[in-house]
Amino acid sequence: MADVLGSFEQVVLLAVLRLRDEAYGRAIFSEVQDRLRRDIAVGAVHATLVRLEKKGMLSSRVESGTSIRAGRPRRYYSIQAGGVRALNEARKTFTDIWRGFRVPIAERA
Amino acid sequence: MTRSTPPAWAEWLLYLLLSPRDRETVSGDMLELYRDAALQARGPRPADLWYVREVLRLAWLQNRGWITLLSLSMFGRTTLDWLVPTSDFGPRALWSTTFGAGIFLLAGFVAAWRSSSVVSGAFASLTTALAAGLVHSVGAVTLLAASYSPETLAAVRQSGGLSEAITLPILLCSPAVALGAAAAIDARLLSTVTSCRS
Repeated sequence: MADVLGSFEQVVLLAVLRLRDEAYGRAIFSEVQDRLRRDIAVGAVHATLVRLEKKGMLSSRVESGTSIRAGRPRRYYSIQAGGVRALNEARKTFTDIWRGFRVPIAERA
Repeated sequence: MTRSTPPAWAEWLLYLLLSPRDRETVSGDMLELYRDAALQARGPRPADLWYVREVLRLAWLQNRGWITLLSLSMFGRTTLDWLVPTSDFGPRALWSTTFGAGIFLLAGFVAAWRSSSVVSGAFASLTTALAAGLVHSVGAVTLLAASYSPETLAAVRQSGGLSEAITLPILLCSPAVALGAAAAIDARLLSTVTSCRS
């Protein structure tokens, strides 16, 4: 059975998927912030990336940096089979939970 | 010429909080965000504040468990002393001091293990002490306001007074740094021994 993903973990994994070859720390942070449209801590995204990598859902490689970051290297992330499985499982669970409801749910007085 | 680097002390703190593996890459991400987003959109001073806030948020994320435990312990002790007074504070003091020391040791050990830095261990304990002390001070004032009565006032005086409860964050700094550093040295020694054996 795939690992159960938290909602923030799903957002981060989907950001890595969307960014493809450009999925490094700063780009992932900006993508997550844009999607959620709220203030996100850089540390929260970093901690989630570390956790997902430990779980084997992501892998990473280091490449050289640019002048805007004073030459400091970039860590690029790629999604692994476990990450894809966990995302599919999370999506299925979400769909099952919502099955039978008409969206948007009507508000009751 | 406008400065285009964040405050050096904040960058130093960020390095302390990160593992050696992530120091260069994450500080690079932060620098990129600082220059490319914060500095251009907000200007130097707000950008500096943004950077410092992000570093403090990271410190909170890493230590929130210890801060919560210590805050609960300190506030629980104060609540007990003020609402259920005793003539012998010895057992309560022994328990709360032991628990607090344990938290400082654990915070220091874990931080040093993660970051491979003794200073990081001392900083984690100091952060825990300051944040928990602050929460406790606010809680103590609120508790007194909520349960204000001659009996409570007498119990407050008997247990050391309100000033002691409020100045607790400052009183805790030195022992927190000492215990955090001691645990951090242990963590570094253990890490060295472990890596030598493997």
